[in-house]
Amino acid sequence: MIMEFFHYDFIIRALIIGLIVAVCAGILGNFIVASRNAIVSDMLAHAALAGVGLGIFWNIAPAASGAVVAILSALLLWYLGRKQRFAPEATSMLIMTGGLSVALVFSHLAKDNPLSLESFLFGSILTISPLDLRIGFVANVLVIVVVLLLWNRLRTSIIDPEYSQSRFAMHTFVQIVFMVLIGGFVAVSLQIIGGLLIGALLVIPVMCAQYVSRTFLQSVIVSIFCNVFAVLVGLYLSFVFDIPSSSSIVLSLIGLFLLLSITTQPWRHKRL
Amino acid sequence: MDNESPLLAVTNLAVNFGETKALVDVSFTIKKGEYVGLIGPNGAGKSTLLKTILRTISPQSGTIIAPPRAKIGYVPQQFLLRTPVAISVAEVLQMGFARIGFWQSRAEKEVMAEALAAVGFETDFLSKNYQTLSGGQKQRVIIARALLNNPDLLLFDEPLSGVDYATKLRIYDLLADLNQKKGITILFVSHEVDAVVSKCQRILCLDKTLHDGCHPIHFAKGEHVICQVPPLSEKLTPIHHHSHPPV
Repeated sequence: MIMEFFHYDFIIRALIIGLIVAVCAGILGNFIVASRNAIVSDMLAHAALAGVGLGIFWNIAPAASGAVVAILSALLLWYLGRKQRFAPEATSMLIMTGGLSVALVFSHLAKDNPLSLESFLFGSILTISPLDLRIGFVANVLVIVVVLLLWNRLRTSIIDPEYSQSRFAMHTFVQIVFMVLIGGFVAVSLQIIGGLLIGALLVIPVMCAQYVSRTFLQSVIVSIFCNVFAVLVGLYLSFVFDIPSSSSIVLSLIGLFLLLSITTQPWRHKRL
Repeated sequence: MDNESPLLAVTNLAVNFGETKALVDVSFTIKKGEYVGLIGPNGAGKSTLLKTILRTISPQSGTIIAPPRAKIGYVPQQFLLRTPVAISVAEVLQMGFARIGFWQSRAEKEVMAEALAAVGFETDFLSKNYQTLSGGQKQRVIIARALLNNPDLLLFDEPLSGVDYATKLRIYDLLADLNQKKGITILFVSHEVDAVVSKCQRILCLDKTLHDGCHPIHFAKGEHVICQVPPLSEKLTPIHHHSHPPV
C-alpha cells in the first residue's frame, strides 16, 4: 500500500507542496502565536477568500487575487492595530465575516466559472497542478528566507515590542513585513489546506511544541516536525480511507496534540 | 566626555496626547556617573518622559540632547514578556544585539556571558527557559540585556513592581554596583519614594512638570505647595534648570 501511495504523480506533488507548507507554517506559526494574535491568520485567510471570490468572478487567477487582497488586508490590519480605535476581536470579526460574505457573493455570481470556492475553503492538495506546485514552492521558500533574514529583529519586535520600538529603527518596518508575510503565506496555502483550516497548521504545532521545548528555536523545530508528521500521516490516511486530505492533516495534528497532552506536562507547569 | 558635562540635557519638553497634556515644560540635566531618581504619582508622565528620551514618543516642543556616541540602555516596566511560546535566557539577551538575521556570531556568547555575570548569573543560565524563572531572576536577565551594548545611561521604568522585597534589595545593590563600579549613569523611575530617597543621589519630582526643590516625601504626599522645604538629606540637592549648555 505504501509503495502504491508513492506511485502517483498527484501524490508526489501533494507531498512536496505539503512538506514545504509544513516547514513554512511551523516557522511562521511560532511568531504568530508569540504575538498573542493567533486569530490574525484566520482573518487574513478569510480576506484572501474574498480575493478568491473576486478572481473567480472576473476570471483571473484566484490565488493571485487572493494574495493581493490578503496582503492589502494585512496592511489594513496593521494600521488599525496601531490606531487601536476598535477592540481587536471586533476588527477580527468584521474582516472574517466580511471576507467570507464577499467570497460567497462573487462565487455565486460566477456560476459559469468551473473553479469552485469550496476548494479554497477546504483545500484540495491532491488536485495541485505542476504550475501551482512551482508557484506555491517558490512563495513558501521566499517566506522562509525573509523570516530567516529578519529573525532576530522579528522575534524582538513581536515578543517585546516596547523594547524593540525603543531600540531599533526597523521596528515598524519589521511589523509591516510580518503582516505581509502572513498574508502572502495564507493566500498561497488556501488551495493546499483551505482558508478555514490553515490556522490549524500555524497554531496547533506550536501548542504541541510547548510540551517539549524550552527555547524559541526548539519550539520552531518541534513545530516543523509536528507539521511534517501531520502532512505525511494525513495524506496517507486520505489516500487509504478516501477522506478529504486537509481534514485528515488537521485531525492528525490534533491527534498528536492530544497524545502529547496526555503523556507530557507543558513548560508553563514546570521549572526546567 | 568629562564627568561634569551633562550626559543628557532635556530642555522645555512638552508632550501632548490629543488634548491631554502629558508633559509640560520639563527641563533637567543628568551628569555622567549620576544616580538620579524620578518619582511622581500615577499619570504624572514618568513613562512618557522615558519614552520621549528613547525617541519612541515625539515631543510637541523642546529638545533632548545627548552626546552623539552616548549609548542608552532601557529596562521596561513590563519585563515578563507575556508570550505563550518558550524562550530561553540566551534568546531574550539576543534581542539586545543589533543583529537582524538568524545567524549569530561567536562573539555574542561571550558578550552575553559577561552581561549575565554582571547581574550575578553563571553562563549555564543561558540555556534556561526564561518563562520559568522567578520575577527577580527575569528582571536581572532584562537588566543584563540592557547592559549588552555597554550603555552610558541606563533608564529604568518602575522595574521592580511585582518583585518580592528580598529580590528588590538585591537589585538595588546591583544597580548601586553598576553605578559605582562600572560608572553607568542611571535614571531610575519609581513610585517607591523611600527606596528612591535612600538609593539615589538626586531626585526629580514629576507631575506633568518638574517640581524643583520639592522634598520627595512632601511631594509624594501631594504637598506641592511647600516645595521649598529643605531636603532631609545632604545628598538630595535641588534641581537647577539649564545649569549646563546643551552638549
